[in-house]
Amino acid sequence: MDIVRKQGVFDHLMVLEKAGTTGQEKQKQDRLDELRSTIVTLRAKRDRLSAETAALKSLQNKLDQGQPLEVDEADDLMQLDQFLLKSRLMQLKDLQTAYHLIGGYNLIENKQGKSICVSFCTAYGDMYLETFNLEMDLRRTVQISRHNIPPCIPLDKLAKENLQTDFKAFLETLSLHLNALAGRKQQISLIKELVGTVEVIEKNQLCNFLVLMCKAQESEAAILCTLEYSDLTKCLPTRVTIQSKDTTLAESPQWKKNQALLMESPVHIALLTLRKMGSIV
Amino acid sequence: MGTLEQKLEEEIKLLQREIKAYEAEQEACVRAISLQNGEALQGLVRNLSNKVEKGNVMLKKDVSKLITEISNLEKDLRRQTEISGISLSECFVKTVTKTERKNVQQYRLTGHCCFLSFQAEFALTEIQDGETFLKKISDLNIIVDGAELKDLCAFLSRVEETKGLFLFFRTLGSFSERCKQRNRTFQYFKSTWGHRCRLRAGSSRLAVSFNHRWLSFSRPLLCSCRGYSV
Repeated sequence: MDIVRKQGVFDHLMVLEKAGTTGQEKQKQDRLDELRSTIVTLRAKRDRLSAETAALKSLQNKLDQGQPLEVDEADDLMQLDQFLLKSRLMQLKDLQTAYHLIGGYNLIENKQGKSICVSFCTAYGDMYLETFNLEMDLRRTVQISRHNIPPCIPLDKLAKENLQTDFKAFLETLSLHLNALAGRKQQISLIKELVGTVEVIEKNQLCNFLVLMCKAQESEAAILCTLEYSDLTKCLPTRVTIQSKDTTLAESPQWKKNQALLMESPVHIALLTLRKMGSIV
Repeated sequence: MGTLEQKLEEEIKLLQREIKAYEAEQEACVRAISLQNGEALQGLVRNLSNKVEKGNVMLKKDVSKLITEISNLEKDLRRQTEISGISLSECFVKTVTKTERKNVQQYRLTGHCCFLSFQAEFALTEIQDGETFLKKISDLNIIVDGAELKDLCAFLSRVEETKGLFLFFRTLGSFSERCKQRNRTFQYFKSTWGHRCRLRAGSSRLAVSFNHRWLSFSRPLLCSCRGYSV
């Protein structure tokens, strides 16, 4: 009994071992097969692209030599015509991207003219920031059906003012609002990035109410600067208040000047200037 | 076995690189063709879609899909031009660098906004670094017809400095809009007051002189592109 059992266990282990290695081998083989089939697909793709590129180049040469463009009369269109159509498509797509970059929004019609999608891009200085989309139903009156505009933007108010009467004005004002919001947000992240010594204590969603804490360089007194932006289409504040326990400092001519500076230039630049001038740490 | 696997993987990588290179070459080629033959291409598309409408030609599925896509885009762009007031006549794009992480493209745009024609050149850099995505403008250079308008010149140099492409085009739009209004005003004055009004300095100043027994004054009407801030 014992021997049989021993043999049995031994055999069983052998079987298991064998199964284990073949399993591994099989996995390896599968992986290799997979790689080989990928190579076959890629080679075919490369050969097709290579042939296409050659044809495309000869077409370009033909055109460069001044031979006219002709539509092939045969029912079955030649590959060259497809290239020409692709060229036109590329040209139009480039134009669309360009409009997005310079105009701030793109208009794309869908569902056979039943609705239109507007994509707004936002920028501050040389940086492009978030993109927002708005879909409008055009069937009866123009109506906003879907959008991802931040809830703090007064979209309903803007729509009431202009959407039905002046579509262009609606797009322009909305774009201004979105850009100003993105700009104010960007200014706040620039403060954190460039003037780390200044602390952003409070800000709201619209980024149009901002409380900053900085330290005066000489007395090391804490100074609170409150910036309010009542014009939501702008990145410059409309009201700046300076507060400090050291009241003489807050009311000093120097800080009156600083206050004016904060009104006139973007907040991160104003703070950098204040630090350079030695007003704040 | 490991080495065989590595070999195969390397071949795959090589093939992928080759494919990318061909794709980039095709893209450049297609762009060059469209830039050289813009109008002829438009004709070709029109011709084809006319034939399709008349039912003369049966097109392959992917060709007719291309034509639909083209005519939809054309329609969208016409609307875009109409609404923004900016009309682009040439758009030159060249891919300078293209890797998985970084994409740099050189743009040259020519067009006009009302009566002001412009040319803008810039580089667009897109960097994908993990979660963060950066998209920025550099090397901005703008030329506008109408350099005699001093305000516009000062504004241009500020735009080039801050690289505010958006700001530039928005201002150009409202500037030319105001020029149009000013011209209308001038025409109105001209029809009402005739010889008494004249245009000064590159049509940016309109002066009307009134003569009365007790009263005589000349009132300049001004319009400028100031008052925009970043």
